[in-house]
Amino acid sequence: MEDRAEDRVPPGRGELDDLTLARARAGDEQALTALVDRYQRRVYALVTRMLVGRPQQVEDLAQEVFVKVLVGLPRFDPRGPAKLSSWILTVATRACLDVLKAKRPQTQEVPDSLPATSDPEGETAHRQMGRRVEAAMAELSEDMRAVIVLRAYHDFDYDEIAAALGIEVGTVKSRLGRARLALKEVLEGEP
Amino acid sequence: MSNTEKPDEAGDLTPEERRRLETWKAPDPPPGFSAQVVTRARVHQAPAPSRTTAPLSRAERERRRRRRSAAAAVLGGVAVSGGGGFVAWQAAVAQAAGTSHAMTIYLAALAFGGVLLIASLVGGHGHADHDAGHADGHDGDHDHGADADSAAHAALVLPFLSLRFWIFGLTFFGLTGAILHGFGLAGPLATAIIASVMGLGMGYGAAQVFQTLARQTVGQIAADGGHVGREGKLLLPTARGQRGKMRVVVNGVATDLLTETDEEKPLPAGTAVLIVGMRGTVAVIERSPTSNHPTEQGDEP
Repeated sequence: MEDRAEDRVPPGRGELDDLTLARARAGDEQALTALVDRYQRRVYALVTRMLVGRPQQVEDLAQEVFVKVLVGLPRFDPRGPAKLSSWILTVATRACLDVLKAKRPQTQEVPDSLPATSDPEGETAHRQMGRRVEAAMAELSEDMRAVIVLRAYHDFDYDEIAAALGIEVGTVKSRLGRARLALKEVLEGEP
Repeated sequence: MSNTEKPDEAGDLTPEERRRLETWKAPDPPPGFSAQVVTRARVHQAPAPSRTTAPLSRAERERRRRRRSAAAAVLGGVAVSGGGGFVAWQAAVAQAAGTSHAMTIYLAALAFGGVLLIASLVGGHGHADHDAGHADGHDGDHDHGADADSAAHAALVLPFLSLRFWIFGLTFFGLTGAILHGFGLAGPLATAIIASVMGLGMGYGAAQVFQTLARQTVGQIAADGGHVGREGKLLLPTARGQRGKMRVVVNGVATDLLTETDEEKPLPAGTAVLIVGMRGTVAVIERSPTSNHPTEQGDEP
């Protein structure tokens, strides 16, 4: 299966270069497009995982996240403590939580088709595991899911998660621990 | 915060857990995603075409709020003193010259208010409150919701500025007075007081109700402003001077909107279009700059 490392590039790496960022903050359209191109997979992946069971909302919300990011970009301080990727993913996480807390879906959809690959047997097991993870993640509360998505897929450390969600580091640890417990069957059972 | 300093407490994910979690793959963004986003952000930052005046600054809103307060206080004082004087005058007239003058006043008020009321109900929906709707300086296209304090304040004072207040007030003042006086159900002074209270109450109540309804409508329109920058598909052709209809999907919910366009060429049904502004509840559209890409709309209606 294709290695999709880009959507989990750790914050602080794979950042937009300073010149492009400066041009983007000044409203240069090419630079804005470059910014979106750079971070779109990470944002799309985060939104998809946070909105598990609501695939029809993913694209719209991902677009809204970037609109917020681009509109708010002049207020982003490149010399501040947060990397651009952390800031963008924080915006995305909060937007997802706003949606999830505002309205719960009546039904949840778990897609049953994933890209075909050249290793049918191995990939079938891989795909099945992916579906089990997705189904188990859908059962988590949005707060626990946010913690585990940021930690597992975007390599946020505890401090960054705490800052993104506006909670204490201790709360991050306890939510992560409870999420692991809730996912125990998937994470520790038979592959 | 360095990524080489990841916490390694017992509560953290193990490599095996990470490996399993990573089997859940996320899809790629659709083609043209970044172009759509940049277009939408650009439209969001541009002023809406229907906006003819700049948004009011906080200081200006505060100045206007103070002016409205002063005007409301003056009008309130006039209304209270006028009402009290009117009641006293009614009582004096009733005692000095019999009741025929009072009846004339009740009937005149009923006739005047009733005609205006019928006219506003039959032919003038919404017009009777234009004075209230515009007294706060809002033009219906901007600043709604941006000044909640101002809106709450206006709710208290605007009924007295409303033509509906006076129409309903006069009508029910006249009606009550005429009934009580005509059937001899109360004495002249009691009739005048009851009629005045009824008129004030009904006028204030009616003005409040219509004002609340108007605010809800404006809120809906303001919320619809959130469509700006979205893309959708045209259901009915639209051309300059010819309205059409489009469908836009927001958070998975399809919404149909009336459309107008200022483009030279007519836009046929099925065209992917971009909402560049709202004129009331009508979306102002252009051909989507990313129309070669699939939109969030996707399917035919």
